Amino acid sequence: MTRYIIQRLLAAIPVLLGVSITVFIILHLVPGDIAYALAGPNATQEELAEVRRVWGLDQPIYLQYFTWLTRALRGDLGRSALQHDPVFTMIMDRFPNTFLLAIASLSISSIVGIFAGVISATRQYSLWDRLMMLLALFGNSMPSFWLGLVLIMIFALWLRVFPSGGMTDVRGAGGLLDLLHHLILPAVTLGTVSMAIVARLVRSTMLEVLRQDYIRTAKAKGLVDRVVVYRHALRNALLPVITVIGLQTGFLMGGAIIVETIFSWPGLGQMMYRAISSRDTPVVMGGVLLLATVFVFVNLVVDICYAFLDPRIKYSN
Amino acid sequence: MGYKPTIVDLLRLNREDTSRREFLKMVALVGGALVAPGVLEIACTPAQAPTSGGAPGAMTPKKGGVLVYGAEAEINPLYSDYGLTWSNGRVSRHIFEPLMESDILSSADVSPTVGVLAEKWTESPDAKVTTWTLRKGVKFHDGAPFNAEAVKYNIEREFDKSHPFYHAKAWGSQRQRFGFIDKVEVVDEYTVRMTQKQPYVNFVLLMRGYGVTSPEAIKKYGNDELHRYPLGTGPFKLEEFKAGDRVVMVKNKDYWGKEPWLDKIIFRPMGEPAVRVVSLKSGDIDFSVNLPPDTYADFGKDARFDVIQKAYGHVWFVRFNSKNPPFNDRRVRIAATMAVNKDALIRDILKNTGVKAIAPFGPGTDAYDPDLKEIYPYNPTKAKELLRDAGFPNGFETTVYFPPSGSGMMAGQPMVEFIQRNLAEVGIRVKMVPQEWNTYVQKYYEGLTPDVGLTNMSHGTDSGTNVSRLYHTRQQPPNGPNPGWYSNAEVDRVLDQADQEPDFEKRRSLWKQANRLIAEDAADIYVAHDTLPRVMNRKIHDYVAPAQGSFVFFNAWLDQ
Amino acid sequence: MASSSAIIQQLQRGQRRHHGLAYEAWRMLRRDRVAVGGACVVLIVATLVILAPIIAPYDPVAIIDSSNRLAPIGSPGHPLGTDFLGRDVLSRILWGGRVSLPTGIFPVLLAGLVGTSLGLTAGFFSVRLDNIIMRVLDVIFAFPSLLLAIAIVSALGPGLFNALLAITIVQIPQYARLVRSSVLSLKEQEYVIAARAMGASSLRTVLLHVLPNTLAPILVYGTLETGRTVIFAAGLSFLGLGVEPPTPEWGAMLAEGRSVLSLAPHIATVPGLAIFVVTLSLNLLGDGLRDALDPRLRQA
Repeated sequence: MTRYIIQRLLAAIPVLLGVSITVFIILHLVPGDIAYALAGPNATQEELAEVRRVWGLDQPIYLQYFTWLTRALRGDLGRSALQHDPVFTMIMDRFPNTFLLAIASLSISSIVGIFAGVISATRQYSLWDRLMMLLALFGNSMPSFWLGLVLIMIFALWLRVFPSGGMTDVRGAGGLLDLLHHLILPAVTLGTVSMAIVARLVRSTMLEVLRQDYIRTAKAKGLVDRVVVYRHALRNALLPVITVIGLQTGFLMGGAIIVETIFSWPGLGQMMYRAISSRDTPVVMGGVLLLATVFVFVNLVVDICYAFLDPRIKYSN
Repeated sequence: MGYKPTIVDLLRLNREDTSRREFLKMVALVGGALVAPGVLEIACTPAQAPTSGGAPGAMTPKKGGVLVYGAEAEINPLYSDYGLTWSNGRVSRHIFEPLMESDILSSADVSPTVGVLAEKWTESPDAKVTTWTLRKGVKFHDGAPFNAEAVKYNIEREFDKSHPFYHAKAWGSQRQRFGFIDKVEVVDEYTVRMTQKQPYVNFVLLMRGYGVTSPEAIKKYGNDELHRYPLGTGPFKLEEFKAGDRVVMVKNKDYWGKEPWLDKIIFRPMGEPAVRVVSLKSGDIDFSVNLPPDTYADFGKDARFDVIQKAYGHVWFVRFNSKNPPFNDRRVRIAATMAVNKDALIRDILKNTGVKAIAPFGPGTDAYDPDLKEIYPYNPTKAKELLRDAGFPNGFETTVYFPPSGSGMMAGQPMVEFIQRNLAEVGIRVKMVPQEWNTYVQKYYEGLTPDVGLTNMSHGTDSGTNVSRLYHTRQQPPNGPNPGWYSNAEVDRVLDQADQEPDFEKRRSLWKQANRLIAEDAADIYVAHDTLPRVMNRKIHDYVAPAQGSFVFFNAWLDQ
Repeated sequence: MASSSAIIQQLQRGQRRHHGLAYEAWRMLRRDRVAVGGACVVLIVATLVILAPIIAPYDPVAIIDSSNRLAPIGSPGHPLGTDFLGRDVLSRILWGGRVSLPTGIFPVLLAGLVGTSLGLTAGFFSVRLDNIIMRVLDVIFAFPSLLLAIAIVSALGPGLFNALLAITIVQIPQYARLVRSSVLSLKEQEYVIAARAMGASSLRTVLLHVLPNTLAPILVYGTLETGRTVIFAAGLSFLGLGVEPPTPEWGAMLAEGRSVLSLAPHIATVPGLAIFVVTLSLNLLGDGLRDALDPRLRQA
């Protein structure tokens, strides 16, 4: 197992290098003098000179890359052209908020998705099954930016049960309940597509597992249905679900840009949106680099979990 | 209180051809008669809610409470030079104070000039030396004393390259203000003397909007970190700056002036107009500006809200790139102006939250000319003829840069789309390139490239010095905000003359003359003067709407 | 070692099996009423959108009457109302589809083409080539796709072409992976080995024997992906990275409707529904195709 983990970690290194090269290349796709993009449009000659020096823009391109990479590894991603703060600090300030939102929507989508999938699979062709699968189909076809607006319209504007945005009630004392109150709409918006995917996947894998011999055996032995379902079938059906949840993390990171913007959630996505629309290049690229890195690690962890949970995988390969 | 002034009345007040002093006196009289303490002043439009607050003196202000303000754009770092953009200035002005300003706590139609950190100031007859007598007993938020040394340290930082914290970036925006400054001297602890290299009659006017920062903070945090620690002398202190979420300010208990009623003000950046509308209705925020014009009628009917409008010398316009073809041809500029149906735009898109503009400087500004009539009225047929004469029988293609929203941009994108359609009808096909507000402002100072024919902007200060700031040839990029490279020798001559004229009234008539010349030359398409509609929860009392793009909550209090 | 006639027989059987499968799939698909419904809706929408210049009641960018703004659904002359400038929402939806549908379809076709070629190349030829191609694609795959697309568009500058390019790039790895894995398994199939043994050139083998058998999963995946891409492209426009105003596009229309959400919810709702209906229909069709083409994947 340890060897497998080490192997996977080593395999991630070239991918991460590739990710950094890609971000570097994209950075250089910016038309015109890249120093302007990095220093911000209103930079003085002194600032441009400073940016050229710091980023090594007079050096050959591969040296520029190494200069940039060594700085990035030290957590130095440059300064925002607009906010003047170090990009790394800005990212770290907001990362917990996005992390919270991502965890919340992952939890919602996994719990509700698994639950719906199990109900559907155990009551195949029932009204419940059809309803769940119809909802899953709807969820899968719903643009998050529209769903967010619809939820705001219904729950914030008409029913007034949830706030329309923000992370806490600025007047209130804060606290967990307040946070949850603000978290629900954005988390549901962000998690809906994943929820639908998980529900459909759980249903189909459960159905497959339920038809397998050992479940039939368990049934034949007279074990009650519920135990059969949850102890045997669900555990086996969950394995592919873990992979999907890992992949959904990437989806959530992209979706966060849209959802955080709609709900004024002060996370990385909102920061990225603003940086994109104001051409704050260091922030955009720093954000992309960091999120892609996180994504690589999440998938690494998912792979390892998978290997750990599924004895059929030969990880000593 | 039976008489409610309409916006037309208030504008008419401005048109009275009185001298400035008499005019101010009159405003004070009329204002005094109309508005008693404790009553909100409102320039009402017909579709609007009545004033709130009941009979004068019926309510006594209460201490305490938190006011939540929904800002229309992301809140940038709070600089002492808060005059840069209004949306940020409305936040920064709570922290930073200038030596003097157009009174931000006055509801007059032209705010009188008052000393803030300076008690008085005198100018030498040759317009070279200004001596300021500073207020005593003022402390910065970090406890550092405010004195002549502090003023000297701040101003030298802006122009003196040998200053340990010389701030190159600030120089761009300070060029006009400190363009001729020679030296700043401490006469005694509370007297400071500023000397210009040449006579500079507008220097004092330009010192409005220049806030003073604690010199200790500059030394402690340096140019890279200072923006995180805005330490001024104002009635509120920064408690928390959470980018993208909130800026929290608390009452400055050691404030030298009248202690504010409010305990806290929370500024929340809410770039989405829809979110601001919803948040006002749900009570999450108490005050906001620049909502979609269609929502004001709805808010006006809602007993919980007041809609406030006040003209403030603002103009929303589309500037031509008059250096490059095709808009270097005056006929083409006039054609484009005549293609735009301003009346329909103001009536339908703006829902009358603005008044038609016919020249760069309108009511409420020093350069306003009440006798000026619309020079190029809406006439698409004439516009097509002009285009044909100029050699564009089939029109042409060009690009417009614009911010979809931002401070003073009124309805923003819909207005640009409306104008784009108007121009298309006479054959001018415009590609629209939206840009986020803060970038947009920065780009504006870089000037238009030859392929970009149009840029949309707004300005709004009462000062006549703005005429040369925006239209003088020397203000072409990168020196100043003349992004369309506008250059007219006649205008330059008049403006240079104004810059040498020590008599204010004579200066004013020169500005007026320049205003007319620019309008005749069609340097821009002038579209509307904003009345900065604000929606306010009625639990707020004594909010003052000044005739400025900025405003503050120093006097405001809450009755809940 | 089988005789040549046996090999030929086997080859023919392979091909017949292929035809048989396609026929079988078509029959199944036709019987799947839900999938047929989805296909019909997609076709109807596509037809309406193609006919927009003829059937749209107004010019989509014309301000018909600026005093008749934000007219509700069912207003005289404007069945879907008017937007914040008084433009006809129905006309804008129809014309908007001419941008939104192609931005869902073209990146999928292009990414499918490039991805399939790369996958075939990687799977069929040398291991070295395989390694190079797949490592590069792994890197693209390592990015969350919307994030990568945003980075590309924001570097190149907003606009329809750049958005399409970015969407295409981020989708290539999935097709390549899909094709490569089915090539790897097909490579070991008897009829492919036989074809190669008979001296068919590599290219010929790939095009005649391998490609047709990889088409089924690509078709299924591509159909499902088209729905997602419609949303994806609209999302970029929603963020202001797609078409420039005043060109109608569903995502951009939705974004425009945000500011008047409380007064005229239909302006954001109509384009949202359009995106939803098209995506839903494409997903239904994709599900049906999957069931028909790959009985093993069928959702019992």
